[in-house]
Amino acid sequence: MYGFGDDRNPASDTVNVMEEILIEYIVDVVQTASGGGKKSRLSIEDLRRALSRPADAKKLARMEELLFMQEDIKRARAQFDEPDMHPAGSGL
Amino acid sequence: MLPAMADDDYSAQLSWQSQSKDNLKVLMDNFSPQQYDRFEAYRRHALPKQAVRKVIQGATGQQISQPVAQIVAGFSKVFVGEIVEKARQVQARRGDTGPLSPDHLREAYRMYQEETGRVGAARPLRGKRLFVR
Repeated sequence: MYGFGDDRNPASDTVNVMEEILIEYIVDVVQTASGGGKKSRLSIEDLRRALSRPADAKKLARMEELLFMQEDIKRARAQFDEPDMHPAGSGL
Repeated sequence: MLPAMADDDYSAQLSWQSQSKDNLKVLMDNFSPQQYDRFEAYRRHALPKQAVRKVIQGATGQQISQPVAQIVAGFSKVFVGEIVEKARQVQARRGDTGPLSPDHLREAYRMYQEETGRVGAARPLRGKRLFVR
């Protein structure tokens, strides 16, 4: 909370309220995203749709940024795991 | 598993990221020590992934993968920022000083919901706690 603008030492009851609000928010978003039903598994596409309103633009952008970072790691790993890097009998 | 990202999207993000890095460097070069300290705190702290995962699983009744929990934790952190910033505005408007109070937050959250509309829950979630702290 300090990072976002609160005092260096936020009030403890304020922190508790922030946590309550945050939990309510997360529950709200994921329940909306999964369409209220439990049948289909929660997907990234569901979350994208739930964050598609103009007011949620920053949150959506952050999501895309995180997806990019996860993709980045995935691609870097895939390159590292290329079969010709570990020829048979190389002892690696 | 997350679906693979298209190459177009990947390279678009790549160039956006590199531009953002340059802008960020200019910004950081001009921080006061207090601003730098606060920015470091902003960067360093994230929502605990396991706790977020538990909340999602409790709310959906599904097993949630770690990457998805990470994504939700990520944009939920942005939400915290939106509430805190709004709370600061509420505080300023009232002429209060010092650390934010619970009332500032509650008013900020109320304003947030008014401005954005409820996320779209069909049934009222108010007062319905899924977890007891």
